[in-house]
Amino acid sequence: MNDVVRFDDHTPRLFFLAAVFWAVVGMLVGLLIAALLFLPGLNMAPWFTFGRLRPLHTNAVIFAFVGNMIFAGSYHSMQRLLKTRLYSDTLSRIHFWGWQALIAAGGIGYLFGFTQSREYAELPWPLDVALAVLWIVYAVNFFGTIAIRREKHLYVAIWFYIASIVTVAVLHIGNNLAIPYSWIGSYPIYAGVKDALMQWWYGHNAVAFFLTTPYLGLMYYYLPKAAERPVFSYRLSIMHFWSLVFVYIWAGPHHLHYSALPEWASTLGMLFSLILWMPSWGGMMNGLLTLRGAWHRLREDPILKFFVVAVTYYGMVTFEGPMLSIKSVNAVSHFTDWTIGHVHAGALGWNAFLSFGILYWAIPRLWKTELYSVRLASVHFWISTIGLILYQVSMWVAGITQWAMWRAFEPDGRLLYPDFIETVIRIVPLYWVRLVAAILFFGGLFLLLWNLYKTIRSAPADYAKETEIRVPPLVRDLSAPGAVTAPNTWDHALYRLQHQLRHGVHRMLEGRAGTFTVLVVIAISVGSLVEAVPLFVDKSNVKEIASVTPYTPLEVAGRDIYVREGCYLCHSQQVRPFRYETERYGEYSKAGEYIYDRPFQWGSKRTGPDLHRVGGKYPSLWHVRHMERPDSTTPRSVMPRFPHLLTDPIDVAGVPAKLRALRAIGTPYTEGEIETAATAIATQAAAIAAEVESQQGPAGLADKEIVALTAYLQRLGTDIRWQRPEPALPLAVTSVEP
Amino acid sequence: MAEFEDKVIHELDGIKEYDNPMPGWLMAIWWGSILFAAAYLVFYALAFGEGSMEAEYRAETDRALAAIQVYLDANPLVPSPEELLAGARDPVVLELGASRYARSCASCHGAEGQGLIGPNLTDDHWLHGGSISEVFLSVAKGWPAKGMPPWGRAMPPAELTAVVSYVRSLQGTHPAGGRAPEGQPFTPEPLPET
Ligand code: HEC
Ligand code: HEC
Repeated sequence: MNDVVRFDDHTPRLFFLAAVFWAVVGMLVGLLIAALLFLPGLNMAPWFTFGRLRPLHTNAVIFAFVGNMIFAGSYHSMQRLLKTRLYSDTLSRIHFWGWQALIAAGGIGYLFGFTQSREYAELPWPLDVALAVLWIVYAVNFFGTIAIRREKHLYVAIWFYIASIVTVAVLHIGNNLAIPYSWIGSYPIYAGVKDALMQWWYGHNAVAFFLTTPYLGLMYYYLPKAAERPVFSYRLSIMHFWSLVFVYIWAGPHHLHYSALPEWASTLGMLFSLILWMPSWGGMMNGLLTLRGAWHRLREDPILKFFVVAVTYYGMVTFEGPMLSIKSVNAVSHFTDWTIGHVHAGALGWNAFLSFGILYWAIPRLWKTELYSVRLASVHFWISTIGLILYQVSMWVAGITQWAMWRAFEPDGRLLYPDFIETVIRIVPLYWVRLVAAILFFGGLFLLLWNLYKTIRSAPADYAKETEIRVPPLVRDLSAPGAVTAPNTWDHALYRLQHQLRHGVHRMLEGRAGTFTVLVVIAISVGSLVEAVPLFVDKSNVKEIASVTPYTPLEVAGRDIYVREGCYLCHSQQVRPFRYETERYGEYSKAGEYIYDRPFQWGSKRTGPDLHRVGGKYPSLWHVRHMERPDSTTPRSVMPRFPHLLTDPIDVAGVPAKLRALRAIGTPYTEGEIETAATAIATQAAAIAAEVESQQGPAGLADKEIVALTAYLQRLGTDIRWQRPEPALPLAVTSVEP
Repeated sequence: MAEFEDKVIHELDGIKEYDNPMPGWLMAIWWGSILFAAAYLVFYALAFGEGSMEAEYRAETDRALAAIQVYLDANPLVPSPEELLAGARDPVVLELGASRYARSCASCHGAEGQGLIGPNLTDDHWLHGGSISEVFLSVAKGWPAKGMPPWGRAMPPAELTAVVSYVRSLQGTHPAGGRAPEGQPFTPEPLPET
């Protein structure tokens, strides 16, 4: 007595199309910002500057392109692997349209400066709530489908989907806890070092559980399908799945080496990153060895070509990753383009290539037709591969070159390249190479677009008719006595257990989705708790510094401008304890200096110099001129212009609400300070405006945003007293005493 | 690579699974990395104590400063007033000085020294003294509290000397739109005959 199961292929069709659409948008913006980095004239303030466009690029690629691929692929494959229809058509629709609306709203919001400026968690709080709701919709639809399955055992792809869905929910909610101060703005409940730890716990595991584990799930379905070869090793699947899920979550703090984060935490991050090598390569090997016996087909089949490069790149990136997590290597790569090269090797080499292979395989099948042109797909493969390699090599060279220039000293102890901009100009040729690489990659995407368009056009009229299969309903295994009832004697229970363990503990687990999910939650909780809890409980991790006081109301307003413009995407605020950094920037950063920083703005890439000690470095007028036109103070600067800051008024009325929100989460503002915020702002702003005017700068800036931003910049890093370690200069002991 | 048994143990939706053993070298990586991590942790906990980062930094700084001191003792930084004044007449020195001035000083003192954020350098009034040695000190040590950066360690000695000579050569050029004189008047020292 078989049931008729009709697959819902409409939902994966929609998600696949959306993925292609967002791939085009995301990579197009990527092209643009690759150019903005060395052709600053292309910035169009206020909406289209690098700082506002970069989150649009990263979010469109990660959450929209890859996200839609995950939804498409998981919905497509799970119906077949579980022999059932998706749980709810309504939830599928809500999920699809909700997600696209979320991305569109987030992307447009970034252009208007609605951002939290926490990397990959930039969405403002209302959209964070929406994302959480949509993720729950996905989870209900997903687990609902598992609940109505007609296949007892979950295939390895499903394990990876489960781990991804559960962990992303935990990460997203855990990292985005915030207190709103307006309908769109909020401050994270974590400050400074704690915010940094949480953010990189999230950030690194977004890579792990959004870009890696779901894609491993997709690999386990589409690669054996396309290759028509058996998966190499079930045992290896088990081993690398559980080790990956357990170990990955620990690795986040390797993004914070040599920072104010306590060293034990970043050391743990490094060690677990090294241990992560095998679990990652387990996935690669299971993929590559599955292709044994299909190598000859590689020559004519572009889908397999895409898969092989994707899996190989996955192996390459997961070797480079542990290597970059080693402290001394990280000292080189951190803040440079090497990191950018690394993430693109992952995002383009692994995610995009696997996606392309899947799209070429699945789209013709979902539209019940043939791929329009295999040759075109091969061309796509080759030009993307060239683009990919050029991208990576150019970023390696750029990163290492710039690092070498940052740290070069003269024999008399001066920096060889004291002007930061020199080190940028030197790598501009490599930025050109990267742009060419990006154009090649994008050109390939265009071929895909055309190829898929023609494919879909050739679909038969009734392509949407739902595929039917006949399967028996899932019944409990009746061969075990008492299987349908509770065991009524010890013998019964024992017999049943033996029976279930016939194929090993794990096989039994695969039949119990609930238990499986709970174990995943336990696996990801261990690392999270061990790293986070001590930081929140043990105060010695963030040593207090008595001279550090909260930001003034004007500085709060200025800081929010810094956050809005995404300055942290080019500037770090984290001087590392290296002589070449303290010589260039000043005393290295201390944990206690950040306790009022919500969100933390340490940044991860230095396209411009570190700003943590910029306070007092220049007269205020310098900042006014520099923000209006950076090349007026620093010839050949690649920083965007921000002329609107000189004309837009400070949002004074909004500040008390901000101070109240900050007070609610621990910044010690008094009620009096909050009530008189407007006066305090006026006084401090007037003083700065007067200073600017006395330096013969423009008049009438006292109520303009530039004054707030300048107040913040002049405050940075000045809470502690510090001195550069200098040799006793012969200057002090010569005949030219004044 | 060793031969594998290739025994199919499951099949689902046309996908078969073998149950081959894990490659030995992969397991070696696994145990190797775990052992390394454990050893490192012990080493880290025992050997560094608190703040190895800071300790490394202090050691690095001490080493570097000692080496610099030796170098500076052998190669003094400060030119004589005569050398600085002579430079104000030497076209080669002036060219170097002018280019360095355009790069580092013009943003604050104006392209022609007429003053902008910083004071006018072409008039005969000085906030911190106008003798060539005093100007050299102003430039080398700066007046950081007043917004004049210290340049003594931010450019090569030859350029530092040249830029001061160049500033001396601007005396009395009276560019248009100059900032009003500030500080005390000072009669410039005469330049040597060429
Ligand atoms: C596209 C990358 C980019 C962005 C975005 C950017 N900057 Fe810059 N910034 C630079 C570069 C490059 C330099 C070095 C050249 C110069 O001085 O202009 C620089 C220099 C600076 C300096 C001088 C630092 C020093 O020590 O000399 C300050 C201050 C500064 N930026 C502030 C900001 C602020 C505030 C924002 C956001 C409103 C911002 N920057 C956004 C690239 C950027
Ligand atoms: C960031 C802006 C800035 C830059 C760049 C700058 N200066 Fe200054 N400079 C100032 C300011 C402001 C003062 C006045 C300090 C005071 O009021 O005591 C000053 C003072 C001086 C003085 C002393 C003037 C006097 O009246 O005694 C000299 C000489 C001088 N600068 C030369 C230079 C030279 C040469 C350079 C380039 C190597 C340079 N400055 C770069 C801002 C700057």
